[in-house]
Amino acid sequence: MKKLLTIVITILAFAASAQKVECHFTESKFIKASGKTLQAEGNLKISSSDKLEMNFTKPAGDYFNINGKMIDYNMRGKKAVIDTEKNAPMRIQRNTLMNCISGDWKKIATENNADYTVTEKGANKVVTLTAKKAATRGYSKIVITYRKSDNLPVELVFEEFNGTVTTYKMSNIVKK
Amino acid sequence: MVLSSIVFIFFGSKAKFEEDLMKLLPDSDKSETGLVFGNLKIKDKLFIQLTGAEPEVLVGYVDELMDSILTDEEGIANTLYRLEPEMALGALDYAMSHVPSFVDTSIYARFDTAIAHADEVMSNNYDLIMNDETGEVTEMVTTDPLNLRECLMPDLSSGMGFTLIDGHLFCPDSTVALIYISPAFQSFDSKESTKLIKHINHCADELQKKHPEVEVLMHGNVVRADGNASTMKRDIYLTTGISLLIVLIVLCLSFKTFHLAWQNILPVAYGAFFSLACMYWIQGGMSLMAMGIAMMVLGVALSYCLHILIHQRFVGDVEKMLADEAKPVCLGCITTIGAFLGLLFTQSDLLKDFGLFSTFALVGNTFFALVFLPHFLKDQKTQQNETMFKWIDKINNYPYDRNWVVIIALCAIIVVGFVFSGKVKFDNDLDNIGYLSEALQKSEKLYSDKNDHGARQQYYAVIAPTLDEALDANKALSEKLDSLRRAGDVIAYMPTASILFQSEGEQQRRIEAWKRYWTPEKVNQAMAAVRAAAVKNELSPDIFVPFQAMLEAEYEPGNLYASGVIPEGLLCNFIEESDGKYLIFNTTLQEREKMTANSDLVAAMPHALVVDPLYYTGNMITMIRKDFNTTLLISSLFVLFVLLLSFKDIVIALIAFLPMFLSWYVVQGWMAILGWPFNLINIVVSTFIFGIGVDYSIFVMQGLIANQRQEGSRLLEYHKVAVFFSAFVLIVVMFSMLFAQHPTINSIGQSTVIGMLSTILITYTLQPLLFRWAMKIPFMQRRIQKLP
Repeated sequence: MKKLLTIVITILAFAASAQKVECHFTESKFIKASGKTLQAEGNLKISSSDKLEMNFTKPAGDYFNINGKMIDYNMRGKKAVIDTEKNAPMRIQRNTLMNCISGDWKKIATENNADYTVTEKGANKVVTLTAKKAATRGYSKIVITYRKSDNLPVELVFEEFNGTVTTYKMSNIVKK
Repeated sequence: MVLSSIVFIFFGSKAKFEEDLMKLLPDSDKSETGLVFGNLKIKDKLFIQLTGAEPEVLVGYVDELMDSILTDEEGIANTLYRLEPEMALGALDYAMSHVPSFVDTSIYARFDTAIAHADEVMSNNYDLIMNDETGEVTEMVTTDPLNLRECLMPDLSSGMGFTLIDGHLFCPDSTVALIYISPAFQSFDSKESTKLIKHINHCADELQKKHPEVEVLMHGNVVRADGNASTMKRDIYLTTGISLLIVLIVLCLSFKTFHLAWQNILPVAYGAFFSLACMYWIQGGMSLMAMGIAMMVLGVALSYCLHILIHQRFVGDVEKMLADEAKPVCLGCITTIGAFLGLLFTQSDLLKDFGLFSTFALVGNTFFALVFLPHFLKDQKTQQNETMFKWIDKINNYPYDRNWVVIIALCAIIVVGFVFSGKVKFDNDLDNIGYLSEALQKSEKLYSDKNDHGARQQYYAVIAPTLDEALDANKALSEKLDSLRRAGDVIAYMPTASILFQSEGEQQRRIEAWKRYWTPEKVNQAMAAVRAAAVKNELSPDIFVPFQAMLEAEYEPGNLYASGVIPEGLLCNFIEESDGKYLIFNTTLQEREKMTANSDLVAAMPHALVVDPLYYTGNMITMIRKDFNTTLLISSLFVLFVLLLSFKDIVIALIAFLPMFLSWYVVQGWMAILGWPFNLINIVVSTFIFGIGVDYSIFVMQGLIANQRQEGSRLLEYHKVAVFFSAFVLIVVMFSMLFAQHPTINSIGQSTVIGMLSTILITYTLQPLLFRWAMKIPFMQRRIQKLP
């Protein structure tokens, strides 16, 4: 989830550029191994392009903050301060997603060894990345849905090779 | 003179210094297997600890500090402070491809138990999967639902090892972040170690300035060596420098000339550079500690110059001065050299360095003083400070040998010395010879308390020419250490090396055992148990395909050492290639009292060794003492022989020999009474006391003989003035050493001050008394007139 949250924040930060954005989000995590779905939700605040705060109302008290390259989180009783530059998988993930937002689909495909498709669905644009080869870990598929009007992501779906699917939905997006 | 000076300065300054306490011990750096301990990287590891903040904050500080340290990687071979996420994944992949290689044949019985308890394990698996944030835990559970990995490493919860927080290394209670740095040089390379320590200290200071709450501590052999070298250098500069300045000022004021200063220093400096050049030509350099101790010898050298210069001030005739002084100075020099040369018969490199350097320094100094220095002297008496000389005359001319209170008091001191001499303690612990700063002690204690539970860490290793042979030998060692742990003789034993690394043959045997155990029937039985337990615990029974695949796969032996899966900084804790041989290390925690017995058991095993040079040289310390007693005996006989040759009379030779002989017992006895122990360093100083004791007695004896013959009644007076100044110089130098921080320099000061004072008292009191008594014998009166 830590990885996914970083992705969400990175996307939103990039999309928001220098804007201040606040929104409500829900997280839905389907675990294939147990057939159950875990739910979480909270509020997201973007103060600048590299400063974000994510406060969970469910589970209450959890938070996930990003300040520049540093990530500070308290999730399900686990606290950490991570330098994303020191964590290669996180760094790769960030690069991938920043390229994704900037629209460099070729780079994303190369980095993730994936194929991509872009389709339009009403007022939204949907980007789908699919892994070329099966693997034991990582994402088998990523689907990002943008609001065409301002290019802000409204839904993110991450499917892992082990069958776990995590979906984020953003609502009440307010630009300040 | 100029040409030789240039040559000696040029080559002398090229001499390299090294700082290694182990050099004290005979062949200390070699085990019976021929392994050169000095080349082992594991012993030179630097330990950096960060504490004072929450673990998640410390993680950031560790990265910040290491970023700063690694801006200059010179002198750093590798580091270990965090395990990269890729490394963990790589290790997992390797493990999955070579599972049977990690399964000892003795633990299959535990697999049966694990299958029988699938229900309990699966309940825990459910929690793991539901809380998995990265997907890696789910992957692990689907591959190993029965938690068989627990069966492989049942003893890793021994209290040893690390806690990982965000991939960073912490002590088990997570309060101290750990950084290990392996230097790219050896700990006794003082130049490189000083450079690296300075760099790390600078980075640590910067971090602490920025984050005042964090405390950075550092220890390790390299830090010790650096602390030793820098403290010793500082002590030498301060003690000898300041005392030399005081001495020269007193001398110049006494003789009302400042020429005396350079006339004293020049021969000593010439001797020092001559000696350094000789050390460079012979062996390329010398031990810094030997050089430090030898600074005292320069005090002896100064004493010869003083005899020449002071005598010249009195007689005002260079030729007469040379005629009077050449013999006693040469004799003094030869006997002192004899004492120092005795050290060459010891097996300790450091003592040899000291003996050799001192010998050359005295030769160079005496040569300069007798050959070059007279060219700078004028045939005229110089002025002297009358008030000061009145006091000196009062002290020198006092008839100590006729004052029975003084004689009885001195005899009492000597008798007490004799009685207690056998009770002097000898400090065998080399740790007490080296300098340990408060910060270093704090760091060592913190590490020991947090990681070793206050017990002592002891590495054992096996050594073999090939990795496979070493791995086979390590299996036996591992079993032995495990049995010691179970018997309670070893507090903790970390079998990581024996779990991770196996020889190809052993891996093949394990693969066969794996096939024999995981028959199709057994696989079906395990899968049935897993599926049933999964259903019972609300998990899908279909997710354990990877587990079945793992059980049914075909396996080949692998080479984890060469796979690159384990980073170098971590790998060198387990396996090291040194001098073309492979070593596999095993770490234990032990009580100090049980270490020798345990080490004896390990050392008796084939290919096994105790990674502690002190273990192999423990008995050698006692040997050095015996060695040294032999050396003292040889030196004594040599000195007596030279005195006999010189004076050509056994009675005179014995009287001249007396101060040296008695002072040694006084030193031993009074050090015992004062509770000052001898150590491997200050015992060496006894040679110095020997040398100087003989010098004084030779000069006084020459004066006494001259007086007896009535052929220059003032010779004794002149010599006594020179002895007075010489003793003054040495006592000031030695006394200043009592203020040194370095325990070695300090201990030298203790033993030498006692030795010097007793030598002078005996020379001024007992020597003239015995001589006078001897001269009451008519035969001796006649004989003294005939002596050359």
